[in-house]
Amino acid sequence: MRIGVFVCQCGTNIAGTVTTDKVVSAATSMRDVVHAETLQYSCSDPGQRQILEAVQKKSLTRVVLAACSPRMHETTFRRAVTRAGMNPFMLEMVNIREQCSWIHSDIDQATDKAIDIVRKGVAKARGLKPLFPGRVPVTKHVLVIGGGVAGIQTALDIADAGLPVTLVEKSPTIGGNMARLDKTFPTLDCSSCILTPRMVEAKQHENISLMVNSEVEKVRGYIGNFEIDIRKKATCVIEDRCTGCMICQEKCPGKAPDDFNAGVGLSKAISISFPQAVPMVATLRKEYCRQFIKGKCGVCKKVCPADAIDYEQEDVMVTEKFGAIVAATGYELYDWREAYPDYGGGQYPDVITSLQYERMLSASGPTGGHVQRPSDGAEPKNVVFVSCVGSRDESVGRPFCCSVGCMYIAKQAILTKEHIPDSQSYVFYIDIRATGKGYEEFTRRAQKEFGALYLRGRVGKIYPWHGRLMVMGTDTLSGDQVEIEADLVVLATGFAASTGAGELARRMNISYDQYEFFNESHPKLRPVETNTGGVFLAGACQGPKDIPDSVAQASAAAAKVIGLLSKGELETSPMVAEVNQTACVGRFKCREVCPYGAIEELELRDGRVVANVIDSLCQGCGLCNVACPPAVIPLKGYTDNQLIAEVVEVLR
Amino acid sequence: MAIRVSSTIADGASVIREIERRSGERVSACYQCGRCTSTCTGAFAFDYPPHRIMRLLQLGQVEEVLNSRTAQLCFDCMTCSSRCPMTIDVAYVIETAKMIADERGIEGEEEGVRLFRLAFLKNVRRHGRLHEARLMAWINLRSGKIFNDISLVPKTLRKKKVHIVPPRIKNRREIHRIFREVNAKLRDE
Amino acid sequence: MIERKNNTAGMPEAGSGTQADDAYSYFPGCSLTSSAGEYDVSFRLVARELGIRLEEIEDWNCCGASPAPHHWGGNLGVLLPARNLHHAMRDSLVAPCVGCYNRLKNSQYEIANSEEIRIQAERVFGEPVRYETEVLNLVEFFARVTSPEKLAERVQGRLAGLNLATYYGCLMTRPAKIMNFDNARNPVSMKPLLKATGADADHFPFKSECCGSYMGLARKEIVLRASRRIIEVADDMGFDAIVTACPLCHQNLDLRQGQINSAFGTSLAMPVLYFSQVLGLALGLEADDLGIDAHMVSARRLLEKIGHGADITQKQAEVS
Repeated sequence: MRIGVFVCQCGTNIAGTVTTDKVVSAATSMRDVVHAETLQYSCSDPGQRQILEAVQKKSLTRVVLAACSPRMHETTFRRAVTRAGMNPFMLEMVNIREQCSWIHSDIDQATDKAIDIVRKGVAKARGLKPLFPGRVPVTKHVLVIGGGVAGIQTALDIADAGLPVTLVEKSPTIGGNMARLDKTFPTLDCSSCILTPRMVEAKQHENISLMVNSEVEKVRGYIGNFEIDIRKKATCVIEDRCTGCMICQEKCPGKAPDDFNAGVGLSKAISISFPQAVPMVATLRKEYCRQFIKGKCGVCKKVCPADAIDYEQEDVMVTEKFGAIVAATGYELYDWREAYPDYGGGQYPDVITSLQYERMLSASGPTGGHVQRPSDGAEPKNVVFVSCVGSRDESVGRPFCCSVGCMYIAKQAILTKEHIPDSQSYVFYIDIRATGKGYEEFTRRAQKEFGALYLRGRVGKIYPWHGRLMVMGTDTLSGDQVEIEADLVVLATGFAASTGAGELARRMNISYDQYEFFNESHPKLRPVETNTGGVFLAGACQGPKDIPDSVAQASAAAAKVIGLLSKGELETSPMVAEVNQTACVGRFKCREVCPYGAIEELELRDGRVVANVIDSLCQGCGLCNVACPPAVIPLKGYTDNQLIAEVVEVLR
Repeated sequence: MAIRVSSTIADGASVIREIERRSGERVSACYQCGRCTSTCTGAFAFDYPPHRIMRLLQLGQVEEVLNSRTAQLCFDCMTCSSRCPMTIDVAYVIETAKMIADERGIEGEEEGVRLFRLAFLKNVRRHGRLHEARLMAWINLRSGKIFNDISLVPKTLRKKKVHIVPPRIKNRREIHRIFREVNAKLRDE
Repeated sequence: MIERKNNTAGMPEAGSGTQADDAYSYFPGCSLTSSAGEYDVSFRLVARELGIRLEEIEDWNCCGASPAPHHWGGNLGVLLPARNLHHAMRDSLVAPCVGCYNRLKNSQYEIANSEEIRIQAERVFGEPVRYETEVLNLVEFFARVTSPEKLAERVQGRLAGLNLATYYGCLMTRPAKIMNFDNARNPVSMKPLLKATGADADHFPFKSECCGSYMGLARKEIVLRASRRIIEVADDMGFDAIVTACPLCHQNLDLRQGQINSAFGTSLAMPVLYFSQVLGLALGLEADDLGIDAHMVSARRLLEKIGHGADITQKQAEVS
């Protein structure tokens, strides 16, 4: 056995705290080590070449690389040793950066620890065996979850590349939040003018099948081969019969809240969200329907010219196979009411959210594009915008920036002036964040050309005062308290992950942060991947984003999916569990704990029934390894003997 | 005149450390959103509203803070503290500055407030309980504003809201021991 | 919502028979023996009406109020209230004055967290300080000894038609870490019992604003400005009265309402009632007995609204 040890300096990242020469000289005296050297940057081309040359010159059979976390570059180095003619799994990487040099300051102690880590790695390397990856075919079918602008973009890009896509949306129409916007910053182009053609395209695309009113219920399988249950919720409307004539909505006697219009105005128990909805199909909400509440009504059924109403309709479960998933579940506005009693907690009708204001500004909105005070329908003259409601506020558990508030306030202030020329807008801000292309100029225009008065300070209180609203704030630039008598107050409410995002993440087995935004695999280098192979992210489900960023990420996710599915089959990791079938007692504890369904029963020739690992399903998590009573299901590359050897070295 | 910040943050460092230690708050946590000032009850009477006190501390301007009217006048209603998005106990930061000013013998320009506090404590030390009428009369005498609130006197008398005879507790020695224990020096004695 | 101590868990229920034997230590504080005498009177009356025995703390002293903690490292503000905690003989103590309640709880918190203060206290009292009695404010106390359901059953909607502005002020909930009572930004603890009387208690935006505190003598304009706004908003929103549990707030809002009117040329006439007085009215006690006639601003209209007799109206008229 000929082991080579390479100690990376990573510039000063490691060498600044760990004396790498000492690590090398300590390694030289370790059993089976025939070569040891330092590398300035092991991941660089010269670094990789040094490893390759040493492997060949010294006929090394195993390589221990002491560098950064294997999560960063392990594949790079596996490739490097392969080029030298070694089996890639004869490489053992140990982490002396994140787990040593970065977290310690005492050079001597850090060096000692690095030596321990290398010794442990060498001990494990002795037990390495060549492994060979398997191959599985991929399903060329993509699931996109969420039909907002990000989901639509991803679906179209993938479909254009010739791959079939299923686009699942939980609400009755695709379009998402963007469909609710009036204009978009900083160009002020009409949101629906640019979005609705894309929605229609998605509907008409031969490679896209659209499932609205649907939610992902269960995800099984793994990269390239997912099997997913999708629940299509009953809407009491037969989708392919409904012509979208809206007669049912017109005649329906049941009032219902208008979700699409963010609660501005009322809708009906059976309705189509908005005139450009895709698909143009009515949806019935049982909780507001007289037929279901009182047991009699039947108006919609009577008036429907297409005979599309079916009160007996039930949820349908659809199970399909997919090769990749793109999560594009978007965002919701943060529900500010509980957290901001000082702003009335939702009790003052003329204190509204930015999205409600957006619907009011929209020509297709419930007020026909007329800005009105909800309390009395009067046209407001003084409009106050309050930024950072539920953003940058640790006291309510929302420390992050919503990243779009500054921009949409500027837009809404401009639109307010356009709608009501003799109005005055006041904008309370803390910092103006306008980092995109043309953004800063846009916020300047709001002030210079449209006369919005910007006041730097967080609002303290809003209260009813002589039929108007009094806004108590501060202008920190002058240092004074300020008060404004307002007709309408618009709260720039922050971003929240979509309801149920965390639950969906658990179903897909991807990680998410404390606000239920999905975690990307690496913030810089793998921004659209997750830590679960085959699951990608697009748009605001990953964190607050504006439209350009969402669309860019959506196309990036599409590129990743297309790349993945362009291959006919995928290599699977050989680091999977393996049953020692002569010793297996057939208790199947392994099957109970396996999260991937990778254990099957196998009847041997002698009639014994033992466990067998389906290599293509096993993800190498090691749970079975721990659960097995006789300990006969080792994980390849991480056998008990290897781990014990490591522990022994550490305890020495 | 420009504040030479490179000097002030060095000069003010020890006092700021003391304020941070005693209040348990970090002045650098403040990002100057001004919500404290937006909700401040007394700001109109202060020389520096609360967010500016925080800013002065960030800039190392401790003398301005210790000598400020704000430190003398702030009556600790804690509205700012309860509203701060960074959960800084702003009122307690100001309160701590006030205590440090007091320990350094800084009297400030707010004599009325100082007199009130002093008179109140003297009154309590003497009787064990507060004699409101006596407190009011004493303050008016000392501040020279003899007729302050005089319009309230007949009304309060009629509504039986005033005791003429001071209330006294029995074990006044225990009260004296408390004052001695904290080395209370009631100035002007 | 109220985070703790507001339910009856672990405590005998009101009216269950055992409660009457279990007296509460009572700490009136200086204000309740002089300028806020009607608060003391109404509190005792309502407690008696509900069958609760109060035991005034023997030889209690001033809690030190706001001035004490401002000086000498703050320990005077801990030791003065500590003496009352030390001499309180019952498991629970009720301090209707919110200022006293705040100082007592602060003191308790400091003693629990500081060895130095425990040593100081032992030197003063000649024995280890006793400070673990549970300190209740008035709202907490009533929520404990009765319940909205029981109250509602008893009062039969007597206060229907009134809309009361619940005013908590500062010290009942702040600092939140120490008071650990209700929600400092949006206190709501008065509401369930007030609603049980039949009255409305709509959202009052100034419920946790400051009235100007003890600045009345030294910098009166602070109090007049702060209190003016509280009263004006209550008036603008059509409330019948402001309900408070703090004698100092009451002084600023009621006693100084006339000064506000002369200073700003307003003509405000907003009655300010103690929480205990409202409960007393709901229980059918006489306004006079509850000391409502001792207020500067007449509550005549409010009393008429709930059908109280003309005799009160008469007396109120004489006084004002």
